Amino acid sequence: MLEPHPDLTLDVIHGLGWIWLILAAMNFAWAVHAFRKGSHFRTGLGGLLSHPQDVPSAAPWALFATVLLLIGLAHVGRHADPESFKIFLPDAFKQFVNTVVASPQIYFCLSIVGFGLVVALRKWLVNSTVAWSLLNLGLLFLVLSLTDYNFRQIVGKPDNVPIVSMLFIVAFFTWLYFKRAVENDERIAAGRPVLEAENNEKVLVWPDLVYTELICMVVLTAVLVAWGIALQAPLEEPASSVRTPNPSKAPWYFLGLQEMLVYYDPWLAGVVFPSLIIVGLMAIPYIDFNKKGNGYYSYKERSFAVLTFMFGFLPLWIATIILGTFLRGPNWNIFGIYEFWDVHKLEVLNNVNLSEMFWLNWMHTSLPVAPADASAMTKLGYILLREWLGFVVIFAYFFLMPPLLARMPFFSKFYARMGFIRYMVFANLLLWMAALPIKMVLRWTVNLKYLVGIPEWFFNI
Amino acid sequence: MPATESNFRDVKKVHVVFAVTSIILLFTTLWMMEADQAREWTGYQRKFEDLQTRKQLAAKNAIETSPQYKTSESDLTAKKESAQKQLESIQPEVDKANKEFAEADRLFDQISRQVRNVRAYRDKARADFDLGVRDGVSENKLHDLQKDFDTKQAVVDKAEVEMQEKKAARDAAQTKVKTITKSLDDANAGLTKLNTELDLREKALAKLDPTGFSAFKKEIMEWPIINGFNSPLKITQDWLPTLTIQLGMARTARFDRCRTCHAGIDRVEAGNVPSFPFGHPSGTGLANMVLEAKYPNPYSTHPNPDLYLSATSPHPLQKYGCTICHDGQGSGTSFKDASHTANNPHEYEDWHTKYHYDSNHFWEFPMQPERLRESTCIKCHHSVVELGVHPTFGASAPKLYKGYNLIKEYGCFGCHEIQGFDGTRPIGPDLRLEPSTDAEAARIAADPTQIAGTMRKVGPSLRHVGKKLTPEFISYWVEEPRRFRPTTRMPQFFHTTNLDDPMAQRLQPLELAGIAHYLTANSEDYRQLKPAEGYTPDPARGKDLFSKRGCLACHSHEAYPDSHATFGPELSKVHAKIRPGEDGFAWVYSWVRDPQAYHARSRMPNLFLEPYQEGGQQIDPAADIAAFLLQKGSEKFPTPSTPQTEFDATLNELVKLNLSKQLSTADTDQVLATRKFPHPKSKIKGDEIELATANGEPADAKEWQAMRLNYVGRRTISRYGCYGCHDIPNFETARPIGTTLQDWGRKDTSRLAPEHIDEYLEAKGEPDGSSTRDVVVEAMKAARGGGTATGEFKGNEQQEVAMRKAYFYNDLTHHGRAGFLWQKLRDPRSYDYLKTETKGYDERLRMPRFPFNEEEIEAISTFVLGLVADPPAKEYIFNPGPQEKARIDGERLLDRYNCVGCHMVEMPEIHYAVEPSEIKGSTLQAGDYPAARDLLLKLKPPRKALTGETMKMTLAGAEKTLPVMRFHGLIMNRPDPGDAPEDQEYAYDLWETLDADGKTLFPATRMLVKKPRLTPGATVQDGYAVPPRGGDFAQWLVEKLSIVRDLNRQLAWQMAPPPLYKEGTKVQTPWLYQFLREPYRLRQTTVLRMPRFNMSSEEAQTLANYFAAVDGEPFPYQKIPERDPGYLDSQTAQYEKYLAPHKDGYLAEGWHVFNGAACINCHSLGGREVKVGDPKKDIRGPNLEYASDRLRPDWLMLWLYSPRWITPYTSMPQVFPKSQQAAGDLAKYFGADNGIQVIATRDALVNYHRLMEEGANKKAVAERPAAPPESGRTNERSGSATRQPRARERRPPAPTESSSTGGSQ
Repeated sequence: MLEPHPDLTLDVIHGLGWIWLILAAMNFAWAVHAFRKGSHFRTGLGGLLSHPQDVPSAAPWALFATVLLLIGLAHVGRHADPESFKIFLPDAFKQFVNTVVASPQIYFCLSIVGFGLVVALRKWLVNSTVAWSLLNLGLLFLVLSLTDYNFRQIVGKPDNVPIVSMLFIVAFFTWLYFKRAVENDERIAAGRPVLEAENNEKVLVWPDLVYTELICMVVLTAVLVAWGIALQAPLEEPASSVRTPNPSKAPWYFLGLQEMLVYYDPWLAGVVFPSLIIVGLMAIPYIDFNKKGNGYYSYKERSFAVLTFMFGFLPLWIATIILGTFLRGPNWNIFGIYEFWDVHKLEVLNNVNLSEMFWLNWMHTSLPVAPADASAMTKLGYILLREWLGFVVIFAYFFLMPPLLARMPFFSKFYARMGFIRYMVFANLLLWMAALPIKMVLRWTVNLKYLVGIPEWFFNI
Repeated sequence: MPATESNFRDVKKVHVVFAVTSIILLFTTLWMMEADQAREWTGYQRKFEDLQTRKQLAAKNAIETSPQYKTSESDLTAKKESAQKQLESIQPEVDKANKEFAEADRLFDQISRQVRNVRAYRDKARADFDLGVRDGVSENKLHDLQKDFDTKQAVVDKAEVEMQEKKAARDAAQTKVKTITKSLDDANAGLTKLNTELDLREKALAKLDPTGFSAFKKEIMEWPIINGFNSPLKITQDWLPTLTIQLGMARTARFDRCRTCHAGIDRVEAGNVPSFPFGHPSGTGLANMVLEAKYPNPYSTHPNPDLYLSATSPHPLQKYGCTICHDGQGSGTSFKDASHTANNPHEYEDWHTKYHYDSNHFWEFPMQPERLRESTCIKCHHSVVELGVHPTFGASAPKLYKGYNLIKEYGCFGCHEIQGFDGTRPIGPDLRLEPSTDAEAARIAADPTQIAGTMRKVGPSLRHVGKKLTPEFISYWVEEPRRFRPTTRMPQFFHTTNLDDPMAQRLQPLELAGIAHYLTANSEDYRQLKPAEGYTPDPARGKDLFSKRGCLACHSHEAYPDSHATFGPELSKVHAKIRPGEDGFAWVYSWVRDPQAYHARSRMPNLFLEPYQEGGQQIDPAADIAAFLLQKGSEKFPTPSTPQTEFDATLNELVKLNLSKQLSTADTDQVLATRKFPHPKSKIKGDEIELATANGEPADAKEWQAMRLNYVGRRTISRYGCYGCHDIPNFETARPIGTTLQDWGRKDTSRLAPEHIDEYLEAKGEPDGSSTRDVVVEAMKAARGGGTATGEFKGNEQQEVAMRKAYFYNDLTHHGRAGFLWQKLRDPRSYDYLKTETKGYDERLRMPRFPFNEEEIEAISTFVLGLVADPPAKEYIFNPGPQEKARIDGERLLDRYNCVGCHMVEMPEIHYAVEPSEIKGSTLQAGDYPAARDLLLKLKPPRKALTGETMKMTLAGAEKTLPVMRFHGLIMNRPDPGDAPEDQEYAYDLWETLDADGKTLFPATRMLVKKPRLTPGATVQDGYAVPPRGGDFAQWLVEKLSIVRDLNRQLAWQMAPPPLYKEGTKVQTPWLYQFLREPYRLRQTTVLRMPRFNMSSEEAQTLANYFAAVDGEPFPYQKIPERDPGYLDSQTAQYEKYLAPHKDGYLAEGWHVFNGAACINCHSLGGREVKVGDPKKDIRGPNLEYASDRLRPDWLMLWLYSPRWITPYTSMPQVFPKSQQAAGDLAKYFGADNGIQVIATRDALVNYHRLMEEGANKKAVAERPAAPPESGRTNERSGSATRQPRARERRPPAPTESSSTGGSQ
């Protein structure tokens, strides 16, 4: 009670106990599943056994489940002195994770590396035992992290339940895609028909479709009702324009957009980018000339399309939502997942415009300023003079890059297949998407604020 | 059916899945219904219903089983039976009468129906006629209509006559029946009456706990879905459309649903007695609650229905709801959602276990915890005083009132403005400094959108301090005020926790030296008074005068260890601090004689310590008192020293630090090097003016040092805001330095800066240096272990002290306002813990530490947290009527000028157990007039002495329960400690008229009370159950005089400041106003006289009105009917036969009466002084010349009739007793009838001025001596009087040298 931010309380320990018990139950079920499959592996337990023996694959799972059960019981049975409870995340680990995560650079690099690893290791990942193990790891990480007060504050908020579940749902569907794509790729390589061709998908509306939909409806209603009773809608303070919450966050599904606001002016991040995302997604059928992969899952046959989309979706969209939800704290600073959201934390934000770099640092002169009594046209001229480099860079990016790309070996094929207009639309959309990570990198490396900064007209790029 | 060619899935399996999911959905739906049915409040409502049932049953049983009821019932039943038998015996007669009545009734019924019919026709005819008039029909037609009406009216008249006949016949028949059946009817009526109460209970029970079909119906109404339609269990909601609440950006109506659970909160029985008295029964069951009549929350009734919720209270439920006072979330219907707030962390834990409670920090108005609950009162009660002192409700918010008084006493508003107005709209209590200059006062007075502050700076003026103190003492004192005077209210600025680093240690001594230097150098001259040349003061006499002239009413001194006044400073060590030698003596002398010469706003009154002659010897009391105070001589004080070698460098460092915001570093260096400020003196506005020379030339070395010290001193004074409490030269227009407090109670908690306070309180925090956190953790362990109940705490009080600390500590760690304030008041500089390392010297926190204990801190917090600047709609704001306002304003002045130091304003109360047979009513004595008694009952209406309270005690070996009697009176004799305990007896004089058990007791009755009869308890103090309000000095003086001078208390009281009991009924308001402004010597018996306070004209008016308002008398003007010519004419006519012989007229006859020996023996009159024979024996009364303007006629009348009924200790005799005839000279007048003479005397006294002016009486005052010299000076501080209370201004004579009997004692 006296501790304002207690890591462990009896309530928390009991709650976690139930999660541990659920984990145990899941793994018992998995052990049964593995036992039914009847697979074995041979081990000498590192020399403990005199000679290697065949062990059912279910055995380690059963053992794991038993350990989980015991831990769960230890939690549920705890009735005194939560402070001396031994099962919690070590501080060193928290420190480590905090330092790793609490920097946008590392976070983004990690998300891109992770994305690359998923693609590269897809064949290994689709193995169900690996997937199950990873799921277990994820859940263990979650349940152990919940012993931390700060982590619990963010992840345990009733508001954030959909986001936590989203993590698992996105992972599952990505996994499902790869599972099917990998199999189909193998089938195509072996010259066999793809999965979708083998299982003719033609089904009857009744009972196959409508009945299933009805059941889904029933289940969904039941889940929503139960959720509504168990987790009451959290009401925060009454809205007031003079007292905004800190941090002020958009709804979770917009947090990716809000993250862009860190790097771009609102007219770009709030208007142009969202519009382009929608327009770009609508344009895909007209741009896509690859006829393969139509009606079935495949990676190899559509790797560029898949990678491009997934890059936009996973690191740039999902990862930024996670960043915005869990890591952005007061004053929009980044906090580690185990870090206290202290309003007093400060970050250095000495960002400069390109024009300032050019005139002050490189030319060693002051910024061109129009005389106070100058006419509007003169002022405009001065502003353009001040920002000329930025305009040039942007012009070059959008107008010189497409032809340059068209000459590169990979994209030259695209140009040839698409024709000028389609290619230009495609190249522009791609450049717009690339603009976000590029700006991020510029911010992190040279503290670039805006390429073109004209606050006089609220026009910044 | 397995999956087939046509079906993708096995339909049978899908059926199963569907079935299972449907069942799951069914169960979630049931769960939903269950969750709805099981909402927290339904449980409370069910239980409360059960409680009511049990209570009604218990009440019903109590009635039925009471022996009284049983006997009455059997009695009445027997009567009924016998009546029935008797009637049976005359059955035919009865039948006949009944039959006759039935027939008559039928006929009457018939005719009355007929009358109704014909009246309808008549009414229609009248309406038709009226419509005809409206439509302007022809004359003929109108005539026809009227005729039609007349016809119908005639029919009606006839029928009505008949109806009356039939009615008479029926009534006669009925009477006949009734006469026959009277005995039976009476018995039946008796039974009905006996069962009224029982019937009520049964009806209530039928509703609460119905049987049969009703029970079934009630049950069904509680079923799910059906309960949406007027279920007996439902959310109770108080809608308060005008009492809005600010939710974010919107102001919306308040919805209080508190009564949903607190269902019995407004249930009261007749006389506002709670139906469900609050309490904690020994068991948890409902049966225990009913049995012990103790109901815990949420079942209890509000503990104070007189003041809250009931329809007759000032805060009826329908108008106020709950959350305007308690805060919390009115719309919440669960324990948690209502935003209850635990009173301490232990209770929080308890609630968490019991109610799954967690505080909801999103709700901006959490309920006030019990300890701070009074804070919300000041939302509406901006004048606060009525919450501390109230004639009906007493102290309804004592903690808040204490906080308010502490803030006034310690002058928090000197630095923290507490603005009570938004423009001229009141938003809260107003505690602002008064305008500091005349110019500012004039500006505010001229601005209709501003209201000036009223608070005086609490510290003494330092404008002339150089005449009073040495610089050494000033710096010694400021460094640590409590070192010199432990009782001082001056806070600690230096040597605090954020000034313990080497830099601060180095700079502080020079800051102190700077302050002392600045104050001394800027000290202004003032006119000092000096004793007469060659006068040798006598300290021993000074000591005596010190006590008798009233100094001890405000100050204490070690020479009088049994006197404990704290209004003014403790004076034992005053000799040490005052400047040594002649200077010091001159200052004290001058101060004592005329405090306002030194400090224009001083509260120290002018005590009229003018020199006088005694025994041919000149005595200068002020000089004697000064000599007494300074007897022990002055002392030297060490100054915080800086080694001479470092002096200059350190001083420069300080100058640099202070100049850094004004000049660049280079310029500062330049200034220090050249001793020349870059700007001329005339161009500098700020404190830097001290660094510039008048001519702009560089200063010489000595001058430069003084200038730098002055500068540093002035900067330090600016920085610490010393001028918030003291009047300091050059700081007349400086603004307060602290945060404003008027809306601090709602300050956004994210804007508080707790800094490293958690770490500080973990490392230290207690006065002994131990960790506050550890202390609190220990306390929590003890509380969890059972607290007081298991001996973990020594008592409830100790537990409360520990839990208070835990509450505030816990609140602070959760960044609450209350906790922040608590630590800010405990140790304000602790918020600089480990912050001084990274902030500039001048950025350090400046708030000084005040000597508050935690109880006081809680009181102050209660007040400050109530300052929300969010007043509700105007009709809710407490708006006192003129009488109430006069009372409130007056209460403030009583405190401000410490009137209660000398005078009792409420008499002490005595409670004792009395045998009803012992109470003897007073009867009129031979000398008393019945008219006097009537007047007494009018002026002092009898008060109920028995309140129903009882006390158990052993009397003569037998246990007895006796009623407790309460009365107001004074002790006139204390028990002899030598007597046996059961014989020890107090003697009291009763001061009021009492109504005890139907008997009336007149004032001045001697009440003898054996000590064991007094009610025990903590409040019993020295014979009084409720101590008097004020008058500590008077009591002290009475005891002293009665011991030292060997007087009885009756005489001693006549020498002490009189109790101001019923002062409003006694004096005329205009006179009191005059007297307060310019008091003259009124009483000749007292050893001291009323001093002249530094009171503005408005204040004197307010105080004069106050006394009238308290006693419910008219103010500010009084009607004096005895001065009406009509009245005088009627008196003249009435006593014509007595007046005729002398032809002097009525008033002149009266004049002769009181100009006789009976009065002039003691009273001066008409300019003639009383001849005092033996000053030790003779008792002189006030000059009768003043009576006319001073006294209200009714009071004067009663005083003449029977003086002791008004003032039991008076020496004034009953001059005109009824039992005697007037004798001597007086026998000539009014037929020697005392009864008429007394009236004539009163009338003549009331018309004194008229008498004086009427030429007919010139002869009577021929030997009037010349007017005595006038003394005193008018003291108009704030403008001329806004209204003149009397057209005829008359300056009363000052005390003359010859009137020395009492004055010199």
